[in-house]
Amino acid sequence: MLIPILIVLIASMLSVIMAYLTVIEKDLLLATIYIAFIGILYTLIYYILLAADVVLAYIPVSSILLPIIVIIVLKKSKRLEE
Amino acid sequence: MNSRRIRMRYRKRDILVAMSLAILTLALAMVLNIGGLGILPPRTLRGLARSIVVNAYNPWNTTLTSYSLNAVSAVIWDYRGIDTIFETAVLMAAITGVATILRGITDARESRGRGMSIIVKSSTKIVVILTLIGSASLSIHGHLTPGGGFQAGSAIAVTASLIIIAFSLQFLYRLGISRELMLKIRYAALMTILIIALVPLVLIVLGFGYAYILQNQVKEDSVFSMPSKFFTTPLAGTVFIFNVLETITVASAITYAILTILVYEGDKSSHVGGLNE
Repeated sequence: MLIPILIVLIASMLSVIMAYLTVIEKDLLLATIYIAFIGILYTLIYYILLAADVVLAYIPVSSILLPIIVIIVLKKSKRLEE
Repeated sequence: MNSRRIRMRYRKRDILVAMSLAILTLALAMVLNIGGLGILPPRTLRGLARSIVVNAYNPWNTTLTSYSLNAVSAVIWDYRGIDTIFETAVLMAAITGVATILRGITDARESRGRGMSIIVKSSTKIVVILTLIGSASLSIHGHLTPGGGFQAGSAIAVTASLIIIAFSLQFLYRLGISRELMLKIRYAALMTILIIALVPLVLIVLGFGYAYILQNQVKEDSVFSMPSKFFTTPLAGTVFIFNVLETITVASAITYAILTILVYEGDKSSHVGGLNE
């Protein structure tokens, strides 16, 4: 009973750290990878909180479709922000 | 390699701020759990949830049930059907905006892409086939197990993205998947959703009594019913049909968006937006 709560705690704290690093990162490709990592952590939290439908909708959107669209946009613009 | 040349990506201050933000989040969660940020919702099952859980699959109460073992799908496509129709309309309006703004673009078919190495190609073939099978299962069993239309559709769109990355865009065109075809499939599926929603009204036209828009099973003053069983398996009528149609719609729409964004830079036949000739 204690282990799922601990996993939710660690994943949520890591996701906050990753969100801050995403905001301050100058290399936008690395920031995109951070966003995908946040998606993995949220998927874990949803799974432990027994929201199966939300997990199945969240896996493709958060970890594949959103980074692919952002990477395409970065390829057409600049990778480094000033 | 001199160690002084390797510049640290983050300063110590950034790490400290991130850790303090995480600790602030933890403290807020603890305060919220005690009840310091307002009244907590009750932990017992409330009336609306109780009625949905009881009636999602309830063959003894034929006027309120939807014969769907997955309560989430029953809520989304039966008890709350018109909300979901408009929810789908929001995504489709976004795709329509993409198609309108980027309308002067043609598919670049002359250049030949080579794709990645043979190892990546072989593993991608296996993964794509497995993902397609899993998506079909998610869509068809959307009323029995967790899953449904949007989940399966986005997973199918993921396979299209994988093929583009591992093989090339030209390979996808050789498979017969083009932007015009995706738009046509999307319109056909959307029109089918609209037609299925309006099918019960045929009873009123023919004069057989009352019926409701998006009606699934028999109601108190209506005899209309979608098919509720496939031999012995529960087939939740409109829930099953709408799941399959939503899969086709979402898959074609997201694939169309990705193909449109991926247009080569030098191959724009006209100016995007069409403001200046």
